[in-house]
Amino acid sequence: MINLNVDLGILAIQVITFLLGMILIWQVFLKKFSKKLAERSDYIKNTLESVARQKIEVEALKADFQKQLETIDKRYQEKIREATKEAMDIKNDIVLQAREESKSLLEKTGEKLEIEKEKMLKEMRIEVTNLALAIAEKVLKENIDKNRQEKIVEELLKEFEKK
Amino acid sequence: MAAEAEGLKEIIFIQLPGIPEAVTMSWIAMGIIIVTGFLGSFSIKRAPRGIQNMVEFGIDWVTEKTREFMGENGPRFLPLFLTLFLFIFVSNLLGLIPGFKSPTSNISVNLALALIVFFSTHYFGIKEKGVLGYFKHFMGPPYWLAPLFFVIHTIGELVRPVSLTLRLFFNILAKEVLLTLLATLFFVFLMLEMPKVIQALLLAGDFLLRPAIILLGALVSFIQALVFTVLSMIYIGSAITHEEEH
Repeated sequence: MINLNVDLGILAIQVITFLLGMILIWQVFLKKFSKKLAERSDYIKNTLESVARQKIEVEALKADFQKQLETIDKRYQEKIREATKEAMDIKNDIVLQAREESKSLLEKTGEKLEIEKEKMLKEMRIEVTNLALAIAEKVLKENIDKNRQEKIVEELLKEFEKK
Repeated sequence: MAAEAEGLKEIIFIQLPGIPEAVTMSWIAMGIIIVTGFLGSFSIKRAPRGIQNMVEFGIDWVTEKTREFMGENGPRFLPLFLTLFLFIFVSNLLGLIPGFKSPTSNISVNLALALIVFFSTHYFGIKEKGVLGYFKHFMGPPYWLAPLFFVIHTIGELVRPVSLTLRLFFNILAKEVLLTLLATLFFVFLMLEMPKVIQALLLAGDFLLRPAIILLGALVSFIQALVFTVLSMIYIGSAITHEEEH
């Protein structure tokens, strides 16, 4: 038969053993462990909170940098546009100036040519006049036939060409 | 005890003179818990290793269970429930080691544990709600049925330690009896005169069955410790919970 009798002595000792054991467990290690576990839990919680905070800060910084980058990009584009426009203006000015210069040069050259032409014509007139005078002089000095006359003219022309 | 009554006497290696075997085993169980805890707490590190890891796991697990069954009030009772769980679990396992015996296979030890839970339940219940507030809960909602409810609730409360005691006692006793029986049968089969083949088969069966029973015993040890502790949590938790929190 199974013994179901309760031994009051064992029962009392067991109650004392359990209560003393509970106090000892608390004093020997449970208090230390509970404190350590709570500390660790706080540490983990704080670390996670700090990480979350840092993440938010990083996100804000990232957004700020992004904004700054966009502003810089806009400014850069604007500067490029301005520089391009300026360069185009300068180019146009230069081209215009060159055109004007070339036009003026052409005009001056034309004028010079005209002057030279005039000068040449004047010189030619003088020469032709001198030639005519020389021919007349020769014709007057000598009474010559038609063939002789033509020969004299050819000689004079040759002389003229040489000059 | 029961095994002795059945004529199956276990071989107990450790026996202090004049001190009952259940008390000796109970002290050994408590000693194992305290020494292990002490070794684990020797140099507590932020990243736990070895025994510290094992002890922390146990504490954390029981703390979570108290939270699960008692809410945020639970961790307040950690020393009681941790001691209860560890003591019952180690005591149950002790019986699996040859030469040792589970103190929980003694009804007086189990009754002592159940009475601690019983008195704790009412002590914390009264402390939390006051005497009138606590016993008002026994009367039930319809006031004209209050006497009947009071009797039913009182019987229910008185039955709790009995059920806790007997559940643990019979489960562990069954495991102990089974292991003792297997050990005794081994010698019985060895001494009986029978054909060698049958004797060898019987001895092999006995020999192979023992590890399976030990494994089953380990599982029962854990489950019974858990059941006892969780029921205690529920009893104390329901005693300290106010009506509006239900």
